[in-house]
Parts: sequence; C-alpha cells; structure tokens
Amino acid sequence: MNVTTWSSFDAMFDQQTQQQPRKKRRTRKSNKEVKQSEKVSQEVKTPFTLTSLPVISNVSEEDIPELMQAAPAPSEVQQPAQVVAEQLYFNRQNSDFWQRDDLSHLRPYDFPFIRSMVQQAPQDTLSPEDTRHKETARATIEVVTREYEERYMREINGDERQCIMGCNCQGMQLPHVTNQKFILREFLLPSEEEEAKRTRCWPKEARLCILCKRAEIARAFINIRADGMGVRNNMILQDYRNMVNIPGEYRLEDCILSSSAIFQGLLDPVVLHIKSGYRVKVINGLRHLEQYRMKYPEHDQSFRGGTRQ
Amino acid sequence: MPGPICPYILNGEVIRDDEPMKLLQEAYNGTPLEWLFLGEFTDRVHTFDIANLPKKSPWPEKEIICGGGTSQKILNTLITIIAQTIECIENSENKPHYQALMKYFDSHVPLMCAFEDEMGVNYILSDKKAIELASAYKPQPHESMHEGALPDVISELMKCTYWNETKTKMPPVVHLLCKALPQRCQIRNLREIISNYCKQCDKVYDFMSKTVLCSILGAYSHSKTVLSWKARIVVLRRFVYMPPNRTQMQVFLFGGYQHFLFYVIKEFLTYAIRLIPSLFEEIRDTYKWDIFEKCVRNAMDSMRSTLEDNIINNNARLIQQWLYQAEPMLMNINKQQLGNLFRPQRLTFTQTILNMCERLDEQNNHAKPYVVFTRENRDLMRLMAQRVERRKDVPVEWLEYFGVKRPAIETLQNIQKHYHQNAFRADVKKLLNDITRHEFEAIRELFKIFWQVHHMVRVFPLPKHYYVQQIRALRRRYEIPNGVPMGANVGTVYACLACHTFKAFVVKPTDKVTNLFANGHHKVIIDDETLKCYCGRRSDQNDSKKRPRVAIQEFMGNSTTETEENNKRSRKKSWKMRRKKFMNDECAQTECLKFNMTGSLFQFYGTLYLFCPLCASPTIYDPTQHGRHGLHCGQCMKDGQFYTRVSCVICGSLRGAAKWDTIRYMDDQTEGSVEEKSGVICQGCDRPWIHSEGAPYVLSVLKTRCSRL
Repeated sequence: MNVTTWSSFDAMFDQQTQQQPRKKRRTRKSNKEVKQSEKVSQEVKTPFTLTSLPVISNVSEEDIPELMQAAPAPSEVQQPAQVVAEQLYFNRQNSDFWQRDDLSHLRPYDFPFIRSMVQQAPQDTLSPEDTRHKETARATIEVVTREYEERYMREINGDERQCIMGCNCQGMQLPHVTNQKFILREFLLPSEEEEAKRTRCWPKEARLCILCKRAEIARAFINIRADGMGVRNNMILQDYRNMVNIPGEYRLEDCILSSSAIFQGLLDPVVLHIKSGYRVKVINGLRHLEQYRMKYPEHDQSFRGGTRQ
Repeated sequence: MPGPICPYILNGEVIRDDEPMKLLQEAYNGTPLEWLFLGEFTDRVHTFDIANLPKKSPWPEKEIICGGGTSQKILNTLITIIAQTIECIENSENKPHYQALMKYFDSHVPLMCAFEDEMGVNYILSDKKAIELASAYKPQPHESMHEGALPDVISELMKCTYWNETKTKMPPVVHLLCKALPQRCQIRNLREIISNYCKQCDKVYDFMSKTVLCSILGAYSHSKTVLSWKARIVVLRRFVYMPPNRTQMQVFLFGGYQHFLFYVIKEFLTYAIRLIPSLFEEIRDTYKWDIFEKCVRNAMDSMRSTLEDNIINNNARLIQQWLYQAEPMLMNINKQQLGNLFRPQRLTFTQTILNMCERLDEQNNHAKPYVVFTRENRDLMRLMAQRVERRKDVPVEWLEYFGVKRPAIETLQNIQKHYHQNAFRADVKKLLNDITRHEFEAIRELFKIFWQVHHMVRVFPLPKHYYVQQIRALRRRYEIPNGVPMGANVGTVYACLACHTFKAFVVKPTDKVTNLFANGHHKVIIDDETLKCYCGRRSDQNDSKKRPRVAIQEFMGNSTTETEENNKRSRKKSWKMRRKKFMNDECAQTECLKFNMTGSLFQFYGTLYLFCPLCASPTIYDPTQHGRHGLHCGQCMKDGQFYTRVSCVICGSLRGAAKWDTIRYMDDQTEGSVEEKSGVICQGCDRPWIHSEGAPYVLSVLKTRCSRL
C-alpha cells in the first residue's frame, strides 16, 4: 500500500471537506439591491405554472431496495454491465471483510477490527511504554524469619487449626516418618498473626501449613517453568519471603527463585519443600518438625555473605 | 561434598523411623533371636552364650583358627550372629523388615572379611588382632548402604532441563542427571562424559560410586530383587572392605558399561524425584513417569538377577565378570523405550519461521530487510500485538489486513496448527519461496513482532518493598529531598527494539566496579528538532569469525569444490556485511523505546533489568545476588557501606570504586577527646611514611603534611 497515495487521498479529501460555501458578506449595497428586487417582485405578480404534474404510484415490497443497493434512478436507463458491476461492488461491501477477495486498496487502519483493537488499552506487561509506576497496584510480600516459620512446624495445640489440606498435608507424606506422622497447624503470616491476636479470632478461611505452602508455591513456579513463557500476566506467586545468607536464616541454595533470563513469578527467595528435609522431634509433648537438612549459612564454609568482590 | 540425603542417624539422633535396629527390635521382640538386635556388637560378645553356637554354619567357608579365648569368643559370636541372621533372612522374604535384615547383615561383612584375611595372612587370629579388627570394623547397621545414605543432590534436580529450556552450562552432577532423564538421544557420549567427570570432579565420583553400590545391592526401598547374602559378601568385600581406588574404579567401571551406569543414574532419579513433590507432579504427565519408573526398576531388578547369577553360579570375582551379560540386556531394554521418550523442542514455531526467513534472505541475497513493508505497518502490528492476550500461537489471520493473500494465510495457519505432529519445514520453505516480497516481509514481521512483544520485551511491577527502596535510592542518587516531586526524567530508560540493546549504564555483579556514579544512556542519538531518541549503535563491520583460509589454500591447491566452497563463503560474508549495514540504518531510524523503569522489572531479550534497590543504578536481576542486604547490584556495597559514600579522610574526595587503602589515625578534629579511628585514604594522598612506624598520626598532622608535600 502506498503511503503517498493515501496521504494525497487524505489531503484531497480534507480539502473537499474544508471547502464550504463562503458566506457572503452583508454589505449595505447588497442589502439595498435585495430590497430593490423585493420591491420589484412585489410590484410584478406573474401566475405560477407547473412544468409537470407529480406522479402518484403504489410502492410494493419488491420495489423496496436492498440495504446499500442502489435504487435505479427513474430518469436514467442503465446498461446491464453497469448494473452487474454496481451489484457486485455493493454485495462485496455487504459481505464480511474476510470474504472479500482483494483488499489491497484498504489501509490496515480502515478495518473496523483493527481500529477497535488499537483503541483498546494494551495488555498488562506487554507494553513498557504505557507503564505508570505511580498508579500501579503492588504486591505486599511479608518477611518471614526462620524462627517464625519453625514456630509453625508442629501439630496443633488448643484451639489452633490444622492445615486446610487435612490428611493430604505434606506433614503426612514424609517417606521416612512412619509412626509419628501428623498434620501441621495452619501457617499465618506475621500480619495475620498480629490481627488474630488483636481480634482473638482466626482468619475466616483456614490456611495451608508452612510445608504445604512451600509445596504449592514451588508447584506453581515449576508449572510456569515448564510452560517456558514466563508468567502469563502480572502476578507474583509468593506472599512471603525468606531471608538468606544471614546468620540464623537459610542458605540461598535451599531456596527457589526466578531465572535471570525470564520472570517466573518469584523475585524473593522461598524455601523449596523437599520431603527428606525434616525430622520429628517431641518438645513438651507436642510433635515438631525440625528442618535438619536446611543448614544455617554460618555453617556453610563457602558462604561469602552474598556479595561478590 | 554433599552429606547424605536422609541418613538413619545424624549427630547421634535418629532421623528415620525405619532405622534397621529399631525395626528389627520391634520385629523380633520376645523371640530367641532378640539378642541379635540389642545393644552393640561388643555387648553381644559379652553376653554370648556358647550353647547358641550352631554346629554347622554357612560362614566361614575355611576354618579360622584362634590364638586365645577372647578371639575365639569374638569369632563364635560373629559366626552365631551370621548364622542366625541368614536364617532370619531366608525366613523373612517379602516381610517389611527384610531390607533391615539385609542392612544388619551388610554391617557385619567387613569384619568377616577382616577375619578371613587375617587367617589367610597369618594363619591364626590372635586375641589382640581380633580386638583390633572388631573395633576397626565394628558392625553399625545404620551405616550400611541405603537410599538415604546417597549424596544429597536433591536440590540439584531443580537445575535440570526438563522441558524446552535452552541448555546452559551446568554443574557436572546436574549434567549427568539431565542425561538420565527419559528424553531422546541422551546416551550419546555418556561413557566419555561420566569418565571425564569422574576424573575431574570429586562430587561426581562420590555420587557415582555410591549410587552404583546402592543399585548393585538393591538397597533402594523399591528394589524387588536384592542380592543374596553370599553375593553381598563378594560385592561388599570389593566395594566396602577393600574399596578400589579412583584409578581402579575408572578402569573397572567408569570407563565402560555405559548402559549400566545410565540405568544406575535413572534408578537414582526414580527415587529422588519423588522427594520434591511439586516437581514430581509436573513431570509425571510430561514424561510418562510411571511407565519410566516401572521400566527402570524392572530393568535394574533383572540386572541384579544377572549379577547374582554371575557371582554365585559362575563364580565371578571381578567387576567385569559380575556385569557379564548385564550390559547388552540393558541396551535392549533401553531400545524398547524409544516410544516413551520425551522429545523436547528447543525452538518454537516462531523461532523456526524467523530462522528460515533469515536463511532465505541469505540464499536469495536479499540484504535489505525491509523493501516494501512500511514502517507504518510494522508499528501498527506492534500496537496490535500489545493488545491481544498472551498466546503461544501467532494470529496468522491478521496478515489479511496487511495485504497477504488468503491461500498463503490458510496454508500457514494449517502448518501452525499441526506443527507438533508433522515435519513442517519443507512446507514453510515452499510457502515462503512462492509468495511475493511484500507477503514475505509481512509474515516475517508478524512472527517477529509477536516474539518480541509476547516473549522478549515485557514489564512487571515490582512488589511494594522494592518500589519503596528504589524511590529512596533514586532520591539519594539525584539528591532530591523527601517531599519534593521527582522529575519526569528520573528513572527513564531507553532500549532499542531494532538491535535489542538496553541503553542505560548497567552495573553488573560480575563486572568490575564501574558506572556507579554515571547517569545517562549509551549510544543514543537525539533528534534536535523533535527531541526524539534514536539508537546510535553501529555494529562492527569486521567479521569476527575470520578464518585463515588463504594460507591453507596455498598448500592444498584449488580444486573445483574448494573454489565453490570459497565462493559460497565469500558470498555469505558479503551478504552479512550488507545486512549489518542495513540493520545499522534501521537502528538509526527506529525510535528507542522510552519508559520509566522505577518500580518495574524489565524483561528484555533474555535479561531482567531493574534499578538496584540500594544505589538505584540500572542493574540486572541475578538471583544469586540475594544476600544480607537483600537483592542488589552486587557492586555498591562493601562491608555494609556504600561505595558512593566512601571519602578520603585527608582530602575529603569521594573515592567510589577507585582503589583505596585503610589507615588508622587519631581524630583530633571532632570535639571532645582525641580517639583512634579507622578511615580511608586515596592513592593521591597516600604516602609511605603514613604506614611506617609512629603511626597512627594525628589527623591534623596528616592533613598538613600531605597538603604541603
């Protein structure tokens, strides 16, 4: 499609539309002339004569023209070829645009589909130039320490609630634990725990335990990885994050994170759930899970504080 | 070296409920055999009742003569334990404690071997030697080989390429694990790969040695066929009592037996994958894992039967003899599995089309990428692509709006729909050859735009904590006080969509400390009239892969084929040069993508960019950079201090990443008492006498002497 053609076409079209009949300035002179002519007309009265009488005829249903079909001009006699051409033209106009044969005379912008599409807002994450950082709703990811997590790695006590997964809780699926399996208590984020303490009631919906939560985050993450396209839309899989390479916390090697090439929904480290990583310990009559496999960073000799020099 | 995956006992505490002694105690509680599983071996020797000594014992085959009462007692205890354990083993097949009995038996084998050898060398077992050997080879059932004792490489499983991921350089163990996945064409060069890794990498050697032993013994909990006690003595004598050194292992095992080693790693995978439930759930369907698991386990059971047969019936004593017939059997099984293997597709349909278009252009000597397809249409395509939901397929029907004929579109649609099942390359090539240049460019551009917009150039809002940190860092960087609105240009970055370059001064964790203070954009052109920004990058005109062909030709002479080859090469080179030139022009005419990256993660052609939350330098997202300061560029901090804040104590200049030395000095310039402090001195102010005797100097003295000099 030639752009220049379209530019000239637009220009011509614009000129045509701009050429409106200029209003004549009213001058005193012309007013006088009009007045004079009115005077003349009032003075000379001639009889009104009709050149032809109006024809009255009944219009049947067949005579009503089709939509966008040109009604034959009563006065002109059309050639058959012209009629065929016109019919073809208008039929093509009436048909769906994808059924037309030759569309090379159209700019892409002139297709209603494209016009409406371009007028829409762009999809989330696909248009960097439309990003407005001040107006974006952002995820809140709470920091959870190892000590805090380990407080939740035990069976329930008192009115505490079990993991919502029930018997399918990961605590029941540890292969090396046979007799002492148990369902863990639900895991509350620090803000939720604070709220629960303040209001003295648990959240309306029961939550997953920390093991199941880790497993679910990892499952979603691996699913995205398997897809190979990164996250579909703007979303972050985690609502909490662990701290790494700080004494008393986790090692980075034990956590999962997005790759450096494609965003897979995890920006901050979350511990990967591995079934062989826990052992049962009974403390004050309550069964606890100890994360014996997750070493502390200070015990790792290769630990360099996460900063490369 | 990684520790064990899940040992029975760690640091004196029981980890697993299936600890052999515990299981056996429960199983034989209250029976005459209970004494076997109470206490340690020493306790059993002390409490041994000679009346229990069997008249006919399966071990030792040759009589062991003892030199005293103590050695006789130890030997009798051992003989009785072995005899009764074998009796238990024979009576407990298919019982839950069968594997535990095997582990109990295994733990006594080294001591048995030691007694036999002592008899073989000295023809008598003295009291002293018996005590020494009993303490050196003390039977410890929880230390016997089992699946939990294998090296813990479970986390490494997450690094394997299971799907259509591009393979990057990976650690040796990960590479081996990837090789064992049920994918196509994995066995190629496996023998050489294992052999080399075992030579070079201790971790791989340890992993391979232990998994081989575990597979041979059938020590996995899933093993249906395990070696008999007789065969176990032979295997454990060779692998545990007198283990071969690394060179011997290399010669005996890792230099050959490709299929055996292949299946050893596979068997490990079938055990290990299930320990990561999230990963297992995902690959179960993709890889038909249940079929794979069943097949591998059956194959290894058959291998153990063959091995047992070789050791017991054919009296095989060398590793080569043990594995006789096992290798061809595993090879046959492996061939039968071809239909069940997963075939990863490394290139998507879009990438294949783009590669094909590039090759056709080269063949047809079309150096100019865009001849008839206008920029207006290209921009429109990009706008459209940004407005459809992310999808794997490209909406080929759009081509109709851009002047591509209906038959070509229908053909392409059909190919795209069935490309997974059919060989499509020939059809696509034919189609691309038959269409007009306008259509060719339109098709290529549509696929290119979709690849760019839906895969390569994306932006994600960062979570709140990163956003707040970035805003703080940007304010500090540009010295904008809190409460004063930030300028529109703060945080603005550019990227060229034609040559795929990110224009900000990127600070990378792996590079030298650079660009910490630099603000701006590299290689950009600003239009003076419109103030629009264009890419100013010029790719190098020289071919970097130039080979010294001329010198070789002089010696070899010019045959017709060589001339053709040279012509082809020179044509290709010439085309590449011209294409580069046109691409440079294209680059200069393409307006750079401009946007504010504050609070965003920018995915751009295989790299994730963001502002460092600590220093606000544009940096790349590197997961390994998570540390005590959270995520950062890896350059701006040293010992908890910003590089940008480090200033010389004498001249006061900001030193940034430049070299400096640390000195101790007496600070007399702050009010109060004079105290010793540590500070930074730049190379300009540094003098040898500052570090000599007499230090630390008073700060005012240092300032005076340095300025005077």
